[in-house]
Amino acid sequence: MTEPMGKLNAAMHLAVSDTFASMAFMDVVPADKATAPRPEENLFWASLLIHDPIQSEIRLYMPEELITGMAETIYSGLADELGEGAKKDLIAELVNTLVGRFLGEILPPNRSFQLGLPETGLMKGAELALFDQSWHFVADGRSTLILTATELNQLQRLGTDFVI
Amino acid sequence: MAKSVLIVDDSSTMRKIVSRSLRQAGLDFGDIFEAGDGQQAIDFLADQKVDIILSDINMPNMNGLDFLRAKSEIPDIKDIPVVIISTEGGADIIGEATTLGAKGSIKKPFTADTVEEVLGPLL
Repeated sequence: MTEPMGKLNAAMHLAVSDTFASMAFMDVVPADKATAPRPEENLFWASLLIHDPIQSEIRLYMPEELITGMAETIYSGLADELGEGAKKDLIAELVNTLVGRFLGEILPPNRSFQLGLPETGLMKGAELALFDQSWHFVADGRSTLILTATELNQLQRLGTDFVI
Repeated sequence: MAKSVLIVDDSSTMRKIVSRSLRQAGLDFGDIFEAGDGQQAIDFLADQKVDIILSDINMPNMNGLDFLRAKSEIPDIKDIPVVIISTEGGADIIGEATTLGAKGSIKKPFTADTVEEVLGPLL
């Protein structure tokens, strides 16, 4: 039997890899948070609240260079013409999609969920502060992106076979 | 004859991704139009008809469910098929969209193959 944290980690890994592969044809794999390089440059961030069936906040942090590269793929080489707004829209859509995928993976079939609207911003890597639960990933073998979440232990009260 | 499609989503990123997937799906699409929310879609359809509509659910101003309700009241456009593209979880949201007239749904993240599977029979 897979340990609870193993199931949660597997669900998040799958959500992230599926989302980045489908949206930007980008290969994203889990990284060891102890050894993954901590991003120092400008970071785009997106925050999404889960309202139901648990109350949690999930944040996605991505280096500006990585977001710009993704935008080039999605907007077909017009990334230089895109401003900060378009890049924030991109990371907002990424966090919205991967959280939906994550919840679809861990919740019982046909269990609905409710999400808030993403908030976004730009910050320095040195200002990064992680929540209790975090995952590090490497995109295309070079850039670190980070996901962090609060209160995922609330999943215990759902009565699923998924218990943290 | 090439089909025309309207993509309704408040995210310009998602409109580009959907547009790309439509091109990659191998379906015979000509014109691909975009709207930022349900009200923009209703306004657009007053002057331009399309063969199929792809719509998000969670949008400001007029969300996807309200768009379906409004569309069903307009004789000229009520029969244009709508496919929902959304992260919205649970059969209840999709069920409500179906009750309001949606002909199918695609859950994010999706591939071009998924788009072809859902849209193909509707064209």
